[in-house]
Amino acid sequence: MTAIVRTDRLSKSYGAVTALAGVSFACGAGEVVGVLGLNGAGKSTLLRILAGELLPSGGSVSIGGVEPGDDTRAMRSRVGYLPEEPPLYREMRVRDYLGFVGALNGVARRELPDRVAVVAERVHIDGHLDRVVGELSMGYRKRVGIAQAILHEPDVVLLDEPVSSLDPAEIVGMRELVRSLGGRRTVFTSSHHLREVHETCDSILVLHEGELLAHGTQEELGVLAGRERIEVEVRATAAEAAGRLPAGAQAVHSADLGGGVSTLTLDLRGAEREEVAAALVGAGFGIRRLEPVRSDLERVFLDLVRGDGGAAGAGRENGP
Amino acid sequence: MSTVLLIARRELRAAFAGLYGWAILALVLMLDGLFFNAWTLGSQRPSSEVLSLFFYTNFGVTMAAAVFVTMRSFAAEREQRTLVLLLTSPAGDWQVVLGKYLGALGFVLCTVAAAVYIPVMVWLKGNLEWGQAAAGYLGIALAAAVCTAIGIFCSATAPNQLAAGVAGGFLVTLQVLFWLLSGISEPPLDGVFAAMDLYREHFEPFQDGAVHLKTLVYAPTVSFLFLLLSVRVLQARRWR
Repeated sequence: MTAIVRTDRLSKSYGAVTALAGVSFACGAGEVVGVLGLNGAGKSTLLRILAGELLPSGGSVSIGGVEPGDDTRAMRSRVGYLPEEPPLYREMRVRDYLGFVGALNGVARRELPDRVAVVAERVHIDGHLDRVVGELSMGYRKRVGIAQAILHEPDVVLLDEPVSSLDPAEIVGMRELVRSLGGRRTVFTSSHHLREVHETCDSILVLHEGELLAHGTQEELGVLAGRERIEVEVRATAAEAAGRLPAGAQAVHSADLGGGVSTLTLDLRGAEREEVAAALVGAGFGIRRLEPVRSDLERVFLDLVRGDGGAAGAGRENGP
Repeated sequence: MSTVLLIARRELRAAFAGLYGWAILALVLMLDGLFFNAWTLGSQRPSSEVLSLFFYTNFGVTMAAAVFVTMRSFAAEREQRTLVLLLTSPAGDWQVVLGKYLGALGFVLCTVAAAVYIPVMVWLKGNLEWGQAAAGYLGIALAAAVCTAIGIFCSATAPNQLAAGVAGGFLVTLQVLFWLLSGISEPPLDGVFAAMDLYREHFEPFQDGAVHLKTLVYAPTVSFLFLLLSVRVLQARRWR
């Protein structure tokens, strides 16, 4: 994986308060990365450092190989940032505001009108370009905020709590929008709404009290939390199959499908898939299907946070 | 430079976009008009004295305008959480400070220009000395440059607009009270305080038509110093 965003033992303190402590990870181009954590976990601080608003107290960060110490302004030009409160000048018209931000980020004057039109269409504010920003609803303000973040076509887009203060309909629209930003650019979206992260992200960074507890896909996090979940379709009744499971495999759901076939959903806490398969086959039950199940993110997250992870910085190949 | 001008242009437009800027402009015009009416209309003063009195009052009004305009500059953006837009853009901290400074100074000079009708009246009804008028306006511009830089520094430092206004008002007032400190100080401090005084030492000769080289050095130097401090404040906030 070619990392576009890389941090190495990144730390940040506000006086005696440690907001980030030794955070190392690497993310590739085109990924949508969820930054997950409780309030005060360090999510916003991490994004503010990646955006170049704050400088780290220790460690390093690079965007596309450029570090703040090398050329902070070059690094900032590769990043688009939407803070939790969109940074909008309320007295300006949307078109003028986007034109100002585009020019500020180095978009050529002759390209600006076209660029504004394209981005406005992308975030569905093309019918509102001549409205004054202060008159827009929060949902549209967030969209204008995203428009300003992607107007200069950055490699990395940072969205801090993009769905906060939105109504349910706006949340659905925002979710689709965030999802659509991935692919061409790396997107970081912070949230403590697990569903948002579950619905929109390719991988997840779990922060807790300034430390990186885990980084990986939802399945990888499930393994880290000691909770890999699989589903097995087996030629036996559910009761028969459940009685032959190895230690460390616990059936959390089962159903008889009829015809001597049943499905079992298993939590693997220490047992491997191969052991489950061997135990069932050894008992003379044919296995029709065995596949991993996407773990429930809420439980995975709580397991990681309550158990303090036990695997700080684990998951993906992290760090430099 | 285009980034500086871009930020300055937005600042200037923002000042005129809301009620606040127009209120300052109205207040400046009202005070200039009231003082002109009270001190000079109906009197038998010579034109040069009338013009000198106008520049005297305009100096004070401009100082106040500079404080009121700049107290919003960084502090309001911080309160409204829009400053992050500038701080995360490719613009350097110097460009941000300079852009905001030029925008605020541009507005302050607009308030100065709005009262140009008074010298025009002197020209129409009296005997205007163009040299005195030019020197007076140069002095006003230099004083505005200094007071605006002080205000920008206070706005960059203060946690909110009110604190920025109070700090700016205090520092700007201090600039014209150095001559008092000079009077009660022993050498060499008295000379230092005298040299720092904005009105007696630097502006007063301009209102009477005399252009002093030392003021042409003093004003840009003090302005630069406060802008440099403003940049340092922004940089320090990134580390806090």
